[in-house]
Amino acid sequence: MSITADLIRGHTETIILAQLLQHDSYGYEINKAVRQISGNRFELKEATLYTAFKRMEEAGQITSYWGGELTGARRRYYCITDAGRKYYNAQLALWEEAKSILDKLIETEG
Amino acid sequence: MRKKLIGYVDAQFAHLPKSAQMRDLHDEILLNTLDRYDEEIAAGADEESAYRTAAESIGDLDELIEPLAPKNGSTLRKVIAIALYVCAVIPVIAGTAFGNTGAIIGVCLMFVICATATYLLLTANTTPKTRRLKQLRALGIALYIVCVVPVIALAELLPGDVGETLGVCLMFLTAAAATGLVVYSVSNAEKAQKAAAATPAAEEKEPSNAVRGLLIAAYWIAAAALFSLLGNHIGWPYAWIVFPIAGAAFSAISGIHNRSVKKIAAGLLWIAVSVCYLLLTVKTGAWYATWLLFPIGAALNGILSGIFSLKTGGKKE
Repeated sequence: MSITADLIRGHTETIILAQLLQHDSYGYEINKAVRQISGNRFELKEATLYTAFKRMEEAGQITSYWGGELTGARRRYYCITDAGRKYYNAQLALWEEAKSILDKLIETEG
Repeated sequence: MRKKLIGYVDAQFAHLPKSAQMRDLHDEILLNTLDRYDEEIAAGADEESAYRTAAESIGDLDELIEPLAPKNGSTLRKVIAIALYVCAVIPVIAGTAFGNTGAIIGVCLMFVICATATYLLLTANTTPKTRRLKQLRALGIALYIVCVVPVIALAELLPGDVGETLGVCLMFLTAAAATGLVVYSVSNAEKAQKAAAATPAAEEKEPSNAVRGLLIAAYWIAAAALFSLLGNHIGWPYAWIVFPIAGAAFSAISGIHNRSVKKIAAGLLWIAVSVCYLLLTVKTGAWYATWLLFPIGAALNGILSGIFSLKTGGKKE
């Protein structure tokens, strides 16, 4: 499990961007989606999540704004930028390539 | 249980910088953690395991500031500290030109400069979590270094026994304050280490902590007693060496307790350095030069810890 988690954690930013591609969202919602999609097998720690937000905002991949007053709780929403989309596509391509190489290297035939 | 969780989140943020940005982050992570707790309860978890899941979902908040925090000025601090050590003899040399009083003032300045340098060196590598305790400990050790200043200065400046007595009294007070700071920081650092190692839910009280506190207090009182005994016999200017030796022995003993070879080795090294210092000083009387053993000891300690981290690093691979 820990090796799997480490492997996935290396893609934290891509995972977050994949969520933000669908719609603007906030920390808790993103992490909940990550948990559900992974079938409760993976989740981001709050610290990891917000460190990633900070880094990505500084890199111009996302922007943020206050929202969610309707529910009574002030939430910071994140929104993907064009630079973020570009970065996501590049990371996705890299991952596809790595995956295909790993598949060939690790899997045995038959 | 929600209250306990709020307290836990607050505690995780306690050592982080108090900026507006950090406050917002605290509020949001608190909200998330409470939501997570409610979600677990709604899914049928009991309070205890919901608390644990929610608390564990926070992770290590040092990540938030780590990239910028620890290296802030640490190299600069070390450079300044070493420069100060080197320059510490200048006031002594300069003071000697102005006769006996000048030399005494020079020596006092040297001790103050060394204490400042030591403080800078000891606080060079800190993370936000350890900063306050390390600062307190460094302050304590710096106070040990300057505690001889009143003895030297007042004996020279005030006539007769008055100056000497007053100086010794001040030295005792300074050493006592220093001991208080060192004991406080060491025992709290151990507590913090334990708290970090324990799972958030396991906040059980520890009976051995009180006993340990008493033992530590007794140990330092014994050191102070030995100090006053030695002071009467071999002279106050030498007796303060008891404190660095006691500190080093303390480190070695706690190393044995924690099974940390590194701590034991460092403790033994400092005992050796202190004893060498004492012997050399008594034999040669060249106390203006023998203090150089301490920076040399610090360098050796650095090499030692480097070797240890290489070894443990090698094991991991």
